[in-house]
Amino acid sequence: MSAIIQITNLTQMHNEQKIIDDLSLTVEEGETFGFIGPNGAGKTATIRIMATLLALTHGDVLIDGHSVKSSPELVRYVIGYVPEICGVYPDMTVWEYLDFFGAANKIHYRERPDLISALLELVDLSDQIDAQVEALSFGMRQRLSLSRALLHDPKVLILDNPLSGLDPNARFEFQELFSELTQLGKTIFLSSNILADITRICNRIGIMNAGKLVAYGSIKELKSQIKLPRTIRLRLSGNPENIHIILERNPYISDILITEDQSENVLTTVEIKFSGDDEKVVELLSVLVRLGFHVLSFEVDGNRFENIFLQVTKGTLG
Amino acid sequence: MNEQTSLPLSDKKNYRLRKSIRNNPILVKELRGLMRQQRSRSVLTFYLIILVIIAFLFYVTVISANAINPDPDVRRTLGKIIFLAITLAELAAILIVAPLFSADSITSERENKTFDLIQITSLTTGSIIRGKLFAGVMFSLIMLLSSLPLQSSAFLLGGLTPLEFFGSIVLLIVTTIFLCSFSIWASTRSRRTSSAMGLAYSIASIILIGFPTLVYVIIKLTPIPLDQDLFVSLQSISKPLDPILQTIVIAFIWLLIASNPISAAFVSYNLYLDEGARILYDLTAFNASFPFLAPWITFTLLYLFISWLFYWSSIRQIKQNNKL
Repeated sequence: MSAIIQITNLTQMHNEQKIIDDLSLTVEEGETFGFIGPNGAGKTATIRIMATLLALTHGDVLIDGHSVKSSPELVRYVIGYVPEICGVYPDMTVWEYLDFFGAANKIHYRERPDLISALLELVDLSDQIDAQVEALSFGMRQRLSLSRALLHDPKVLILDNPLSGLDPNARFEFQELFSELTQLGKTIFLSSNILADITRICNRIGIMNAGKLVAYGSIKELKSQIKLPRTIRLRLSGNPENIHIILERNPYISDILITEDQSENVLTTVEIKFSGDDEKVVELLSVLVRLGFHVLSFEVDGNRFENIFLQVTKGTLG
Repeated sequence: MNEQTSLPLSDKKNYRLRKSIRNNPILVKELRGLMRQQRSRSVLTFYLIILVIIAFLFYVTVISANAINPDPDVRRTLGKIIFLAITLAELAAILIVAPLFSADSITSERENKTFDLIQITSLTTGSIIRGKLFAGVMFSLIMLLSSLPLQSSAFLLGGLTPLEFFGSIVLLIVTTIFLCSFSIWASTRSRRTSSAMGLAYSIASIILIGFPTLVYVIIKLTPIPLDQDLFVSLQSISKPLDPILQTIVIAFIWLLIASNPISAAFVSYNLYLDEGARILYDLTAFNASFPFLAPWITFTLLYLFISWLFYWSSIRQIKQNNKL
């Protein structure tokens, strides 16, 4: 695989303030790349630069070898852009909307009907072909927007937060669509605030914070790069007196919190912060069992991506 | 053989222009939208009703006046008056309608969040602006065409020369092109439709109402005998001045007259009646005769050039907007 998107030392100034600070990243062909960060992190500015809608200040972005700076018109041939809010013309039908953008993308009028039908089928809007665009639901509009972006068969799809505002079913449908598009060889550059979707859909992720790329790689790589203490919750029967002493001896454990519930049978809940790896977790459980503790439940709050995100963005939620 | 290569150069240019207009999806979309809007149908209907009322009122007034003071040439007078009234009404309609349909051309795209989507297509900024401009101009042309049967009634009554008819149509079309290009420029500079409309109407009013008023006031304030040829009078009143200054004064007033369709039309018509000058008028200064373009031609050239400047500036403005 070769890099289809190359962002090199991209710096963007706005009112003498850096909104993107020396951003460099590459996206491989056929990859689904997730671009996340809190509001104001510089995601939309980056996406607008990639979509040739914003002139960049420093650095360059190459898409399929074409520079957004020197040959934006060539970049437009290889990208399909879906903004967060799908712009519509109130007096157009779905077919007219796609026909207009097909014509604007210089697709021959004889090719357009078949192409539009195929795209509407892909996004499951075939039954809405004569519906007024204005009357479509938000989710339908987003699907229409995706089909519009696909009209000229672009190699790269740049999607700015397309999943926000969608219900879980619609989000699931979109995930299916993305996977179909990836199978068709499309490269997807996806920005989203919904971390769960990003982790499910994307091969690799870039996390932006205050204009900087603060983390970059696959989820596995990010998890191994950024080690965060995990929370382990144990429920023990009875009231084991020496549990505190035993846990304190373990070098990977910190922040021990023991609470007793005496409503029915006596139960003890222990919550600890654990910095060891999976092997050490298994070791801890086996030690407790071997020492005769009656472990009723053992929950490990894994090295979750949300925690990594919060850690690298210093808790600034999107 | 390729259709284009077989054509001579001038025809090739025409072919490209025709093709660029026909193949401009923005133009198709705008016209389709305009024709579907209730606003367009209402404007067109209201406009035609007003024109019919104006023509009828003038007809009744002239016929009533003729009953008191019979005029053997009443048909010709009636033809001229109806034509003049309808042409002025058309000008007023264009002044209202051209900014109304063009000043929202870019701002409405921004408000609908569709402008970004158009910009990332294969369309150039120039073709986007051209599409918007032609659509605005075409709607005004539809209005002019729809009133043509009424305007042509003046021909039936007589008293109208082809030059008057042709000249008025040219002035109306040029005014439309100017107002549309200016309104689109205002639209590229504004964030909201209301401010673009405000800017477009202000400038349109200055040019089409302010300038003619200014010309009228200047003529009233200066001792120009109105029964004489205007430019002979201008030369006579500026004679005490330095010859260079005299030329500058005459050129300035000439330009002021050509700065709006109303004074350009009236002065051109008077020059035609007095001197028979259709296109060129000989002006004597420094003991030499200089050919001056008739005001309606000066207006046409000047406003086509200004329209081109606004078209070009609109393209630049959109590119500038993309730099944050």
